Amino acid sequence: MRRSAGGGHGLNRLAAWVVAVIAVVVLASGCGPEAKSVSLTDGDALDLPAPPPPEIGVYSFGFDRRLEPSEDVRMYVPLLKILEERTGYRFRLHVTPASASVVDEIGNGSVQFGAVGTLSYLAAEKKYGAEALVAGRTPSEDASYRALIVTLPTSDIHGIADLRGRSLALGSPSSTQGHLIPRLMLRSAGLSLADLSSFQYHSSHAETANAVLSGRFDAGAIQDTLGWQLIQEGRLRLVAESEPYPSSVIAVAPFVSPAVVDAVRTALLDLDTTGRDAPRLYHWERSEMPLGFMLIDPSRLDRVREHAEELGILR
Amino acid sequence: MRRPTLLLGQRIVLTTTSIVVVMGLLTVAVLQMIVSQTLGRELDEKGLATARILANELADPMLDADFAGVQRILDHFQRDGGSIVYAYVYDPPARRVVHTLSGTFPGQLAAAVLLPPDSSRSVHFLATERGRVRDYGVRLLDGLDQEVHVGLPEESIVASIDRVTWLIVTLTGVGVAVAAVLAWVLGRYVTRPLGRLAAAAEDIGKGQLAQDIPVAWHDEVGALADAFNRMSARLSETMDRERRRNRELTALNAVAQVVSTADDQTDVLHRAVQEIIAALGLDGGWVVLLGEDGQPSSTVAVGDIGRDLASHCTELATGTCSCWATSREVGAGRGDGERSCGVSSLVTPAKTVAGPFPLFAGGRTVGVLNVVADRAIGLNDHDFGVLQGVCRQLGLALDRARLWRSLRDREARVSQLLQTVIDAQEDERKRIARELHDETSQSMAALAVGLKAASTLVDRDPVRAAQVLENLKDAAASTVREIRNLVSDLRPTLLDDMGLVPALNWSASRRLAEHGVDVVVTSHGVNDRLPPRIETTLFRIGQEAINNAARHARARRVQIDLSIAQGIATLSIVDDGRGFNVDLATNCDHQRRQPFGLLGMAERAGLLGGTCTITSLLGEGTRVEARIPLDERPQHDREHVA
Repeated sequence: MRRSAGGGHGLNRLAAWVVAVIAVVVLASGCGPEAKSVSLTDGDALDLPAPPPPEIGVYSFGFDRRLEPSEDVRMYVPLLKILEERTGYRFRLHVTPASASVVDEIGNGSVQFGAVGTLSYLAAEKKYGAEALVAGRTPSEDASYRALIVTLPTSDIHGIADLRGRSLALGSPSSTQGHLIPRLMLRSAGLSLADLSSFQYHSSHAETANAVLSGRFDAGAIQDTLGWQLIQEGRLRLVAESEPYPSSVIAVAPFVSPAVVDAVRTALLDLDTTGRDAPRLYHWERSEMPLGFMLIDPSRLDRVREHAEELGILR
Repeated sequence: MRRPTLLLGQRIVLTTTSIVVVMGLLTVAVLQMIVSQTLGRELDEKGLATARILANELADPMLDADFAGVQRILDHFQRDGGSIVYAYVYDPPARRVVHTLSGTFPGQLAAAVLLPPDSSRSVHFLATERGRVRDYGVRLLDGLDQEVHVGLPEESIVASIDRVTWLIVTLTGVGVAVAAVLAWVLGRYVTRPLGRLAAAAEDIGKGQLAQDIPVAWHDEVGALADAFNRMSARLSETMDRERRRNRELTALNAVAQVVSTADDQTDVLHRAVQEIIAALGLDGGWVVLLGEDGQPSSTVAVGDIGRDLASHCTELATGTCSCWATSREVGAGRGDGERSCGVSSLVTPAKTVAGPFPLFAGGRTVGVLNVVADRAIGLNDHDFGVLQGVCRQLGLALDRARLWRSLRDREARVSQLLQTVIDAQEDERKRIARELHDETSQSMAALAVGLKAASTLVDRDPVRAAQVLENLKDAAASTVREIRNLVSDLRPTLLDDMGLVPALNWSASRRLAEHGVDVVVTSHGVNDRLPPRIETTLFRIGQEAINNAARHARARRVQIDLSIAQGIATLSIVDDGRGFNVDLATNCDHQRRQPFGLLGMAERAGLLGGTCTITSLLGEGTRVEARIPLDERPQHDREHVA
């Protein structure tokens, strides 16, 4: 009968659909991302991947430690990305181990550019013929910065003279703000390191500040930007502020091509840390070049060079 | 091969259950996929966040090359992380790795999940001896080569997915069961009224159109049932209408055949009523014919009704039935109304009498038809229509029969009239011959003898001869008058010369006044001469009436009047004689000699489109009136009433 035949066809189609859906569901439920088979117990260190080959055309960018290493990295990585965009060259941030110095890495060629203090630059210039591209622009508008001697707000130290017989935390010996300028400030007050009960070098301004904040040292010498921040937060109190000295510079190794040097210089001078480029930068205000960069007046470095020579720091 | 047949309810259950199963499976699959993706995404976010947190903690010690501190942080992380499979930090350039795995670090793991150069994070799926593991890798810090990796197990995801899957499967199973039950209930709810509809449709298909489906639902099924009922009713009406039309056509066809093949009036009625009764399924019927005076003249009955009528209705049996009286009203024949006659006895609880249905012919009722029907069958409006149609046909048939009879009578009369004319011509010739022989010839012979005698006497006795000639002159003058009278009898010259009125006056004076009858001839509106044919016709009618009055009326006074009004010339001849029975005088069967004089007057008037009526009662004189229209038209255009 035609009607029953039509009903049979309909049921067959329905059954076919049901079976098809079940099959699709079963197949779909069995599908998943492909997994790599790895043994976690049968280890062999020789299986570690080979180190990546040196990247040709990539310039290493080193820096003097100022804050915690991670903070320094977070601060400089965005700068390098901006430089890559504006110069067309590729840059790679290089973290100098605590046991090494950027000056020597510029000298051995493992770093081509470096954000270094005046003292480090003068050493690199003297030892390896490095060149200063630009100087950091500070609120003083003359590419200078200062060093601060700070203490805890509850401390009885109110002047440099009060440091006699007290402990003092310093930056690394190659640091301008953490070592050279504080030494000059002590000398101006008629003090020397020998007048202190103790002193210790720290790898960064942040470590110096932590040494004071933790009470391990009665006072500390740090860069002005970090020092004023902590003072404004009420965590530290100012003991003395230095005269202005030429701020940090961007140094370049002598064997970098002039075209690259010019391109990097132009890009750095074009950096707008408070306007256009501010959103891309990471706490650039904590750096020693918070307002960007400017060309260097070499004569301004002479006084620093003389003081360093006098103190025997510049070797 | 015959396929299995499922009822609609079973198909609904099967289809609904299948749909629920399919939808449930799809839901399971989709939800499993969604849950899997959601949990996987959450795990990925959690793993990457964990790796970033770990990288932040490891950044400074790693950059300070404080690997002991790094190891310490990793161990704390492993211990506090709970389900973490492993964590390690890898420095590719230095090929240095600090990890939480026991024993030697598997270098293949670092190779398998190594971050691509420009990528800051990665997710890898690993099949390990500790189950499926998701590896989340991030840079120690953006822009550096060092990588931090955390391995998280997938058991939590799989367990969550399994729990959700089983929950959905269970719910789907319950849903299927509930859906099946609901589908069964729905199937019953839907198919029950449909089953009733199907049964009703089958009954209707078997011809049981009277069945009505109860419309108990106000939905599509109810609408369908209502439509079914309407369709059934229309079908029933159509079939009834077709049956009625068939009956009507059958009856009309049968009656038409009878009417067309039979000439005899009684035979036509008898056979026609038989056909009607047979076609409409009636018990019987009868026709009462009405005469010229409107009174019943004869009855034709069919079936047992004739005997019943004879025994119950004496009026009908004696031809004095008055049933016809109601037929004069419009709409007569609707049913068995009150009857005061014996017909009422035929109306019983089982029988009904319908009628009378009038039979019209020639503008009048010539008879009525009554029928007897079984009440169980009854007669409806269409049956009445059929009967009325049949009655119209019968009326036409009766009228045709009457006209046929009238035509035959007329042909007979015309034939007889022609013979009479021939005889009259012969009689006239005989009369003229006799008069010529008896009078004019004798006079001329006597005149000839007298002239011979006078010629003889001229020589012998001139005086006597002159006297004889004088006598002969008088005789000749008398002969001339005889001849003039003879000619005038044939056609008076006065009619041609002076017109109709003087001719009639002359004829009346000559035929009646000479016998002492007082004759008065008048005219009204006769200003001009009438057309010759009309004058001749009216003169001959008047001459015949005058002759009849002279011969039979014994009248003392005869008044002749000719008037013209409204285009009609009317000639009346009225006498105060003894009168006569017109029907007897004009009925050939009762006449010893043919009444051709009277019929001739009517025929003459009829030839000119006119009429001639004779009114006479015994002892009260006779009036003959001929009316002829002046705008003479052919005879066949006018209705002739004799």
